[in-house]
This record gives sequence, structure tokens and C-alpha cells, in this order.
Amino acid sequence: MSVKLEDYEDFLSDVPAIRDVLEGTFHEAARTMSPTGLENYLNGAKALCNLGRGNDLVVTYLQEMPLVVKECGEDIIEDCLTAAMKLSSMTSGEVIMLMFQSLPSAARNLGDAQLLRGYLTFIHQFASTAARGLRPMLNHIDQLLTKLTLSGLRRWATFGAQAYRRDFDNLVTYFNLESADSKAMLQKERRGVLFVRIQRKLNFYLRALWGRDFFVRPTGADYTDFRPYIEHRILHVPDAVDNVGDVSGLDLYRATAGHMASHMCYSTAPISAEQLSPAQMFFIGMLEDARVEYEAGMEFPGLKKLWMSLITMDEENQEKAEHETMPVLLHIAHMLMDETVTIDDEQITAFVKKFHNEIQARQDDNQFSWHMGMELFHLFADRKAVPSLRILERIAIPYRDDNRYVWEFEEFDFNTEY
Amino acid sequence: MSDITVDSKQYLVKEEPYYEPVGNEVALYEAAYNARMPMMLKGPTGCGKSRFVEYMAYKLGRPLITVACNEDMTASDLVGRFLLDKDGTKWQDGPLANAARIGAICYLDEVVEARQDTTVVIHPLTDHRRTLPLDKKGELIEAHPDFQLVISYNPGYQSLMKDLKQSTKQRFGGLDFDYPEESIETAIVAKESGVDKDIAAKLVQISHRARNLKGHGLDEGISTRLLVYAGQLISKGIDPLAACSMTMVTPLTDDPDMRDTLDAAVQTFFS
Repeated sequence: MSVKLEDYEDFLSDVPAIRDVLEGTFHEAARTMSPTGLENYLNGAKALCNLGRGNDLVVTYLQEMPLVVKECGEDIIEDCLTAAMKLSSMTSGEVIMLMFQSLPSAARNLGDAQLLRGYLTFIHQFASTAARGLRPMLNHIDQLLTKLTLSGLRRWATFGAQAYRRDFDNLVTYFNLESADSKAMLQKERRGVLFVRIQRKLNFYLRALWGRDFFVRPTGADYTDFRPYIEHRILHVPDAVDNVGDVSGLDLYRATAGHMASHMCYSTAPISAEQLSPAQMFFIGMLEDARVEYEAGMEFPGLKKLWMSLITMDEENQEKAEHETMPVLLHIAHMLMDETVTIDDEQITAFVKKFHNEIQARQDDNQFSWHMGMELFHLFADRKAVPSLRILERIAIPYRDDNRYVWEFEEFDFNTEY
Repeated sequence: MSDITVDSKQYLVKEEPYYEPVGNEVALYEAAYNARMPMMLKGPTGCGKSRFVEYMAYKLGRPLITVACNEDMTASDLVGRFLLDKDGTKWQDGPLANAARIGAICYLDEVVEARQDTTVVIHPLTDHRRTLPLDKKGELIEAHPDFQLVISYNPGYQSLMKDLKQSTKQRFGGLDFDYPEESIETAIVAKESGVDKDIAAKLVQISHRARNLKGHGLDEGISTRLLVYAGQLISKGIDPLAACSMTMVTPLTDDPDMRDTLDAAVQTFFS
């Protein structure tokens, strides 16, 4: 199937201004889009023309969309059009045009189609709560998105929208980034390192270590219990992270991606979750983390050191732990990584000693993690000291993923389509 | 004959160069030399091609004349030219003519750097004729029975821009070189630089990390030569991180992201 500009002659003959622009953008679009994507692109232009909000809107759409597609893929075209149609009932054509103008920058800074969809949803929600702030905000969107994640932007905008709901002058000042509280809020929401800034470095790093490519995607980490995760062989990491003590955001990304890559490189089969309680699964997952980190640490001693620095850092901040077991679990995680670390508890000492005695011989066997994990679970269960799952899952090891991969291991298969 | 005489002994390799065989390349080369077959050595930079030729020249007891090829090199630079001095005009043989006369191994290093029309002058020396016509002088040199021509080049990034003509390529036997396997490379680095085996093994590990990035941001991986440089600095008491950064990161790339990654790879082994 091929899409030709001539097929749209009927529509273009009515709007010569658009035809001139389209002749210029069509070739660029044809390079970045498949025939289906190109068809959607042109049909989108037609639909926007029919919206009757002026030619400038259509021209902006035609010019900006290929840039957005280049960053986030052509599936996003329909989402952008839907967002524009929704906005058309709330705001002027000029603001919709500004929304389209903001998309290349948003796509570049968010770096992921799913996050861009989140951005479109945010714009829609924002238009329904503080429509007057939309225009000034979109005028500064590039500046905002280079500093904030999507969730940061949402919080920054929500604060302004709620604070100045009925004070239109201050609302505009806030979203023009002119007021002191606007800048203060921006500073507060600003995160250490945005994923898009270090994505290339991270890809190089993983390739250097394991000699293969990993797909790493940013994910909106705007809720408290967010954990990185592996799904469909893609590493989902937070869209931004702060420095943790002396460990820079980039190193935290490296630690996180390195840990998840270790799961993928040193796992050959899933662990059966049959007849296991979520708490038991947590303990087995913890031992599986220790096993893959042992293997990675043997190959890359510096990576182990980096992980250890993050574990010990959190160990030091455990005075306010929700449950007395949590600091102990964190300490056990540290002991599993470093056999010189001790604890004043005979049972735990014996358990960790057993791990270190057997790990070398059973490093490739995740059933070892199953048995050791269950042993650790029973050790705490006998003491009636197993915290609730909510508390367990909040264990303060910032670089570890949620371990869903341990249970849903996917073997690579060329015939599987995702 | 050249008007300026050349002492062939100066081209002899005096001490046995250290060379660690990685396969059967020594036996293959010896067989090729016995047949006086021109040889082509292909491999990435710093993997030991030049060292191998030196080693073979020493082993075979033949003089070695090495020419570092470049794109300004002309055919006269290889075969010779008339020079003017106070007594008049004298013919000066080029390195190729010299080698053909004295029965040396003539090694044209990085031959693809020379222009293709320049390399054509080696054609008559590399087939059954084994002659070198000196057109300007009106002389035809019959190559010494011990003469052999060896060329080397890097088929990676260089061949994107430059390559040998097929008519040149098909006059040579070829040996493929690559970075040695881990244990051999570790032994080479330890021996050449004087560091202990543990440090040498770490340096080799770092180079493997960089070689994983070849074609993915790096044109070439870290060569064995650079590992030896790093080892030499470490054995002189320089901090390993600084030594690696100086010899294995800075020369390799100007891309800040790539440098950062290579520094992180170094820290993975020397932190």
C-alpha cells in the first residue's frame, strides 16, 4: 500500500495554503511513517480542517507531527488528534495550536509514547480546571519539561490551578513563571536527573557490561510505592530520580538498570509461584535478588560496590522503620552481599553463612533462591515477625525492581509478538 | 644498482620481539614465506600485526623494512628517485627497491592509507614475475630470492572510506588477526607492562567492555597496545583510574557520553 498526495486532491484544492505546507512536510512524514501512519497523518489534517478553527492549526499539525512521530512512533498520531478534538470544545484554536507546538518538545523530553499520552491527558484535565492557565503554560512548556518530569509538571500545575482558581491575574502570572511561588514550586518539583538526559549513557553502559542491547523505558514514577519493573523484556525505570546521598542520579540509574539486567542475564527459568503467599514470594524474590547480584558482582565488582553503597545508605536511615523486621531485612540484604557483615542473631548468622557456603555452586539455580527464601520466611514466621505485604514491599532498597520478572520469566521467542 | 649503497644488516631485527601466538599463524606464515607468497595481515588496530611481522622476520633471520603508508605517499617514495647533491644527480632506491635487492621482508603498514594508484607499483613484485621496474632509471630489478612483501590494514572503519583494488587484493595470502583471547591477552599485558596478572586481567576485562561498544558508538574497541600503555603507567605507580582514563578512555573517543560510560566501566573494575 502506498499513500500519494494526489489522492487527497479534493481536500487540498479547497485549501491552497495547506497544500503548500503539506508538499514540504509530506516527504519528511513519508520518511518517518509507514503508509498506515501517513494515511492517519493526512486524515488527521483533513479532520482538523473540518474542525473549522483556521488554517494555522492544520499547518502547525502538519509541521510538528513528523517530529513527534520521530521521537515516539506513529501510533501517537491518533492520540494527538483525539486530544485536539477534546480540547476544541474547551478552548480556542490558538491554544490547540500551541498544544501541537508543544508536542515535539514534550516528546523529546518525555522520550516515551506512553508518557506522551499521559501529557495529553494532563493537558485535557488541566483545560477543564484552569483553562486560562493553559496558554501561558504552553508558552513555557519547553522550559518546564527540561526541568520537570510529567508528574512534577502535573503537581506544579495542580498547585497553581488550585491556588488561583478564582484569581485570574495571578493564575496567568503563575503559569507565565513570573510569580515567586511559581518559581519556588518549580524548584521543589525539580528532580535530580531526568531519564531522557542520561538514556544514551545508560544504553552504552548496559551494552558495555553485557555486550547486548536492553530496552529501557521511562515510566511515570509519581506514586509512593513505585518500583522499577521488567515487562515484555523492557526495563521500566523512573522518568527521573534524585541523588541518594553521595550516589548521583546517574549512578542510581546504573544500579537500577544493572540489577534488572542481571535478572535477565542470569535467569534461565521462572520460579513457580504455586501455593505461595505474597509474603513468601517477597522473601524468595529477595533471595533471588541476592543470587543474581552475586553473579553480576563476580563479573563486575564495581557494580556490587555501587549496590552495596545504596543498601548501607538506607540501613543508616532506618530509625523510623514502620516495622521492627524491616531494618533486619535490610541488614540481611547487606549480609547476603558481603559475607564480612555480621549480626547479633545466631539464626540469621547461620542462614547467611549457609547462603555464602552454597551460592558459588548453585549460583545458576534459582531453586536455591526458592529454598533459601522459604527458609528465611519461616525464620521470621516462627518469630511472628513477618510484616504486612504493604510494609514488605516498601523495603528501602532504591535500585531493586518489583521482581515480577522472577515469576513471569519470558524466554525469548522470535515467534512471540508484543 | 642504487648509486647510494645500503647496509642490509641495519634492517635485521636484533632482539627477539615478544610475541604470543594465538593460533597457527606462525606455521602458516612460515609456509607462506617458504613459497615466497605475498602476505596480507588484516585486523583491528593495536592487535599485534606489526609485532607479528617483526617476530617472523627475526625468526626467519631476514631484514625487515617497514613503510608506514599515508595518502601523500607516491610511487617514487616506494621505488626510489633521483636526488641532487653537490656532485650531480644520484639515484636513491626507495624502501621497496631496497628490500627487493637485499632480500628483505618489506612491510607496508596500513597500506589502504596509500592511494590506489600508488599501490599498483607493487603488482609486478607480487606475481610470478617478482620484478620491480624502475622506469625513471630504466632498470628492472629482479627480486632477491628471499624477498617477501607483507601488507597490513584494518578492515573495520578504514574500509568504509578506502579499500584495496581487487587486482591488488588477489595477489596475497591473508591472515586474520583479532584481539587475543582473554588468558593470552592477560599474559601479554602482564609481560609487556610489568603489572601483575590480577591487574592485567582487570585491564583486559575493561577492554572487553569497550569492545562490546564497537559499532554502537565506538569505531574501535580498546586495543591490546592501549592496555599495555595503561599497565605501564600503573606499574610506574600511577593510580589505575587515572592511568586507564589517560590511556584507554581519552584517546578513544571525544563523545562525552561514551567517555562517561568508559570511565564507569573502568570504575567497575578499579573502584
